[in-house]
Amino acid sequence: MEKEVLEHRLNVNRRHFLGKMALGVGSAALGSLLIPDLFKGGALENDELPLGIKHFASKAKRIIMLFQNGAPSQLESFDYKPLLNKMYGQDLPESIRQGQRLTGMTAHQERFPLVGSKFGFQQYGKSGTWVSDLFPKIAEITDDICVIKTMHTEAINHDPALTFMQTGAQQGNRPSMGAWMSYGLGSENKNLPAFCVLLSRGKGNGQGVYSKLWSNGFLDNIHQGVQFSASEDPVLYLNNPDGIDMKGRKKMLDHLASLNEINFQEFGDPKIHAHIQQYEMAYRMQTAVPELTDLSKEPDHIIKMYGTDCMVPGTYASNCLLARKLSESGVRFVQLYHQGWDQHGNLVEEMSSQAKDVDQASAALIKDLKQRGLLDETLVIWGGEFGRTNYCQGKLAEDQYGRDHHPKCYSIWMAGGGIKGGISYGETDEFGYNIIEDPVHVHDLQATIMHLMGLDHEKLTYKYLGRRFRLTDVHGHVVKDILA
Amino acid sequence: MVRFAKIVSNTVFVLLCILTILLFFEEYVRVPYWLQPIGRMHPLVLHFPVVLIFLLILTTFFKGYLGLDAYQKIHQFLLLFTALTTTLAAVMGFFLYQEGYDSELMTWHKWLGVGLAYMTYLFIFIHSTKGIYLTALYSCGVLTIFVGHFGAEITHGANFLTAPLGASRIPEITEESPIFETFVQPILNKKCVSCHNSEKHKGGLNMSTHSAMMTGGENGPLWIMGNSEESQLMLRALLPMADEAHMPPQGKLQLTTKELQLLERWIDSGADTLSSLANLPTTDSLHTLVQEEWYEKVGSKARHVFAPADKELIVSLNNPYRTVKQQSPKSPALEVAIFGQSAFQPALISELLGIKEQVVSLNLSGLPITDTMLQPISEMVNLETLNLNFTDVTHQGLAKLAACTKLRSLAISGTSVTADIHEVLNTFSDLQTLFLWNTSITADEVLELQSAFPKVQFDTGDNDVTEEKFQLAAPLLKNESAVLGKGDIIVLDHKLKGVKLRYTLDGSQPDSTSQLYNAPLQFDKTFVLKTKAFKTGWESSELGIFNFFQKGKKPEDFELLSKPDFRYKGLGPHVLLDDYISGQDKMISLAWMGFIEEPLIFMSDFGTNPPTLSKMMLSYGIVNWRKIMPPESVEVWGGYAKDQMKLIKRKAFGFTKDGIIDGASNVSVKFPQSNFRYYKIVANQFQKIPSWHQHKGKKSELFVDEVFFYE
Repeated sequence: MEKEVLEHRLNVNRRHFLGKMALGVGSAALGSLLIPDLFKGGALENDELPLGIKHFASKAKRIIMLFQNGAPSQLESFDYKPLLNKMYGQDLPESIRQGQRLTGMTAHQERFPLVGSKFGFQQYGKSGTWVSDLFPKIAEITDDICVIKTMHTEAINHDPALTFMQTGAQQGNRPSMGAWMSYGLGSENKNLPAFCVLLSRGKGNGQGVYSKLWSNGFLDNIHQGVQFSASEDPVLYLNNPDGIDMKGRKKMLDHLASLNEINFQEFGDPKIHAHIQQYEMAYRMQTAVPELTDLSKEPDHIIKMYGTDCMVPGTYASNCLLARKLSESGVRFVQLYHQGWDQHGNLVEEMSSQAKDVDQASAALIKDLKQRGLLDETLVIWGGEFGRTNYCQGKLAEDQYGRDHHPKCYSIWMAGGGIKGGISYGETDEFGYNIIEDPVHVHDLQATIMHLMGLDHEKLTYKYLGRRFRLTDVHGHVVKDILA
Repeated sequence: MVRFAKIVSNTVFVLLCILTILLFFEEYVRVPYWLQPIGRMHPLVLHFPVVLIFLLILTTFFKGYLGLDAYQKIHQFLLLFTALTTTLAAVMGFFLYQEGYDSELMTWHKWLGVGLAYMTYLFIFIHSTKGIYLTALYSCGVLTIFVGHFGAEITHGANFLTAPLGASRIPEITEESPIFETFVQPILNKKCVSCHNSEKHKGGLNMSTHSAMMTGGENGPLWIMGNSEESQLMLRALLPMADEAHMPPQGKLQLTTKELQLLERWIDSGADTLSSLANLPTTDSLHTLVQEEWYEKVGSKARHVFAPADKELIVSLNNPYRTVKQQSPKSPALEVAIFGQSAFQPALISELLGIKEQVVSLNLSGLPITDTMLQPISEMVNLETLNLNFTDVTHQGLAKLAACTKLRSLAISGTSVTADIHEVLNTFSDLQTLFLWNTSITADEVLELQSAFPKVQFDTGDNDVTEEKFQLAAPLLKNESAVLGKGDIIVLDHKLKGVKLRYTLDGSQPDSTSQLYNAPLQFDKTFVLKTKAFKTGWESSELGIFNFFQKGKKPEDFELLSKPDFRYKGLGPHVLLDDYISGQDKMISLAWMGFIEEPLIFMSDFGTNPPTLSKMMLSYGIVNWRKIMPPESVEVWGGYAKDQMKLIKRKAFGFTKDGIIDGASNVSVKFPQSNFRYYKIVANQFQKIPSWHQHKGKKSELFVDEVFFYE
């Protein structure tokens, strides 16, 4: 028998080897049936998931992001901290600050006197959400919104924080969130850009917004955000030049398209087709945009609901109304920026006027979407790039104080498309300085937003410079608890 | 070997004797606590007999190959171990059984197990070559399968083996499904029943059926209806993990927060086994929770089972005005949206007939759609969401959609539908939400509809037409530039429809009797236009004040002799003469030039045939925090040659606290009538800003938009 075994071993020739191989491969294949992702490697190939279709079914189809640029104070809006009023003027304990870095604006300060909100807080709605007296209209919709009190970010200055929130990186060379949505989901209405940007200026201390915030980064330039301005021509360079009518324009574009087509035949560069499409979209926008900016079809009580400011182009209220119209017309991502929330000093006065500008129109947008049956499919996000310190910047006076930048916690709210309404998520400590429960990092928020739109943030990638990039870089977890 | 065999067989004999005694006096046996761990090792030891018995059976197939001698030796040796471990397992099993297992299944397991132990002992004495040996061995194998299976069912629950096969068939869950049966019981089945079932009721508790649950366990009933706080079930689940009484015990699958919530609210709402989503008020917290759960369950399985549409057809149906999209890569369901009022044609809808089965969502809002165009939609039998906001449809059109029985959400805000919609709603049995905002249907009619269709949520939106009067926004000026020539038109506008604009040109306040604006105004000479908007039901607007400047004489050539700051060069010197005055918000823009180090020195050349001039005007900006101030002084130089200029006028401008408001402003300098060919304008900054200003003592900056020359 030993001999047989020995012979058997010696007889492993090519045939045996291949036979064994077949058996091995076959059984590995059989096993792999139970492990769907086994042979897919770490990252998915781009073309495996069809672009322009959701990765999975979800409720939200569109996003309206009401960006409060400059960082509104969470302590005067949604994060109620009565302890700060009790400890008015006392120093922030070192055990709370824990060596947190300071900005250049307060680094020289000898003391960090705590200061509570000058504005009262009350609970609203069935959910009992705390909202400050500055936002009486938002208080009316608390049962539709989800307040996240535990947002936190990595940057401590406006530009990097803003860029981080919008592009997932602080440096500013990546595609913006809206560009990613356009890339992942495509456009719903091909007569309008998938990503539109509206700017408004508040009365408070402002910070700049730059076009890099709505950049397409390394994605194709059709995904770039298109800025709508407040002037008579909301979209620049859209109108026909003097002396050229629609017919002439169309003729010119058709000829241009045929020339481009010749070019395409020769070089086969798909970007040529993209260009042709863009010219044609711009042509169709010539009729689509006036339909949008026309307020004459809005009933009077809509105007009253958004506030009379909405009759003045370029105000936050008129941008909110325009945002609804854009979103209703299938624009995938409408990005608003409202400047003026950087209250380093003179907070009481400036925040009052800022809140007055945005409160009514923000709430009206939610109500308006709701009554049209659109809130379910539209995700609305309201918030800034970071929070503000619980201590006073500069001199603490009876009725006057300021707050510096605070990245460790801040509040935002979301509503609509797949969001659980009427909840407050996360807890900060009683000083409003650190997060004690359920932190939500900016990447987590981005992952959640993508999830709500039916996209897997780990799978929507773009290969550039030899690496597959994502909006959430290599981080981010979907915050499941706020999903409806 | 013989000695070893003797020791083992004697040990087995002793154990069997003990087992027999124990079985005889079962009722009186009290297992001491220190023996309990031995009993609990039963599930470990039982694996030895299972393996050994089957190993013995296996070797019978290789009898010839092994040779008789080896065969007998192996069997003798293995049999000893088999008998020892089987008996040991049986004794241990008895100890474990004493901890409180009692059921029919248990009885079977016990007696079959004991039988197996006796059989293996007898085996030692049967010679392995005898014919009966094999028969006995094989029946031993069969017996092992039965004992093992019964034991496993006691531990893991009945149907443990076959449950996954049945799991793929999820029963249809509807709103009428009882919450207990569809949501509560599955949680208990998953997390509790493996230890508390009809076979194995730890703590005397059986949770496999509702009636058994109602009986409760040693510690009383499982729950008190309507009082979760004192219900054993919740009390145990909420104890800290380290507590001995915490359930499920450490190491077992724990209840999730969501499951706990669901159990708690179900008990609090009366622990009614028959209540369902349909008969709970939508505001109920249990309703909300269950609905979420429901969505998850329904959402996780494929909702749409119809065949997918042809991929090429989908692609071909996409055009600039119509988007057809798959809901997700695996779903056959399609979502369709049509846009563009002016480009709309009925064919955009009728062409969808090719995918009529697959369309689940259709958005037609804002399009000029009439009742007749709805015909193709009536064939979309799987339609779930239909948006007809602000279209021209009526209830008669909607009546055609009777075949769309799966419709769940219908939006007809802003249409001319009336309360007659009542007749139509009967056909949509699945309808959940109806959006009726901005229709003529009154609140009372909605209440009536609500009582007729209790399952439908009627959303009438925000119709509070408050009595409060709001102030209108000021009229808007459509002209881009405030610099006009004679005969140029001035156009006013207002974003609200039905607004009357009234104006004055003489500087007085416009009121409701002032001149009505109904056509563009023609520019004549420099003036101030004051205007207000009026509308009934609104307060008149704030004052809109617009300054207009007359176009001046243009030099033929010009040259900037000083350098603007490198950051604020604008588009070049010509912006100073481009007849364009932009607003303050665009001050740091290309239409402006900023002078910081050097003053503005501007040379203009009116050619060989110069006009008579007597006035110049400079338009500048003020931004307080940036030190951008008016000019300190303006000099006008004249001459017939560039190198022979003489000062003809110098005017200094002081400034006061009140005059310094951010925005655009202007200064003018009158000089004796002259017709020089060359005029040089010099505008100086303040060397020291006055002491009351935030930038006191510093040099000011000068931002200039436009320079005018007048006769």
